[in-house]
Amino acid sequence: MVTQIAKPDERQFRTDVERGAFQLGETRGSWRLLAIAWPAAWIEVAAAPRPGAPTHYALRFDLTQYPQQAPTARLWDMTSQAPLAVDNWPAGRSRVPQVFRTNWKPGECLYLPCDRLAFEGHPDWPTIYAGEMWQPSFDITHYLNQVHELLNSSDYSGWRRG
Amino acid sequence: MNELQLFLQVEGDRRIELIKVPADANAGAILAEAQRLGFAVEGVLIFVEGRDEPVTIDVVLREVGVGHRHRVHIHRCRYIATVLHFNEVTEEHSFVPHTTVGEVKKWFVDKIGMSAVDASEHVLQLTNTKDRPPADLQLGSLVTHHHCAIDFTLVPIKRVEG
Repeated sequence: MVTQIAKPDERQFRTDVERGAFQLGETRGSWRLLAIAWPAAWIEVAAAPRPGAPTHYALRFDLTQYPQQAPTARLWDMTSQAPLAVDNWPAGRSRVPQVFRTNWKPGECLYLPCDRLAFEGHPDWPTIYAGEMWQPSFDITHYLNQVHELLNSSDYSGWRRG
Repeated sequence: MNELQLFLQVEGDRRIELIKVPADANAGAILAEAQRLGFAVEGVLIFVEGRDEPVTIDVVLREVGVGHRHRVHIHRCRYIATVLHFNEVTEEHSFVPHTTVGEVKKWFVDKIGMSAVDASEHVLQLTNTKDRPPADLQLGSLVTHHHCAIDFTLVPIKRVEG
């Protein structure tokens, strides 16, 4: 019998989701861990009520070398286990569509300074978005707080097809 | 339920600890758990969710309304003198240490008459830094006893560009 021993990145993530910061978010209904299949994890984030729009959006995270490397995430359809159809993406006036961009790396990641893929090619971001950047001392709630803030801002208007 | 899980925050430390105490515990059990985790507890006051007054160590937690997954806070400051800036406006107010950054922001935007829509596009930043503590963080976690004061500036949330 072969016993699978979790690597340090997976162990750290599993520890972090049991810790207070993540559990507080779950208790408050801000987000919820759906599944882990390393190096992927699925977490849904609550959104402000908008007519016809969902109450949560699921994200598929790639957490390779967490937390030394920043996470990257994309919108996910948990029913079909595939990237979320663009019509069902969050919409908004300014900040929301800029993060959930359809015209950049076709939806492979969120356009956030704390996202590993988004950060590539943006050497000026640590200066401009110092407070939002990922640091190895952070945990996954740093990323989730930014998504939750966005989906509960006045900028968020529901989903694209709405 | 034989035990209560509580979210503990401590003076000058941003970590949120998830602690367990017996369901019939008194507030002294919070100090014991904090001490077990390596936090200094000498001279601290114990604050519990929903009450501005600190509780004494012999008070039974459930008798003061503390329930499963409520938040508690230990701090040597009774109040935190808070200064808030926005453009040319400055306001001051004293908050209890377990007030969250989000609650402080709400007080300030109400005080200066900012609309809810505009408020959701702004965030509190520690003055003269790039540090924007999460809304769920309790004020006392940013402050230590010898300086029971904090200074925030309300700043717009930047749209991610580049």
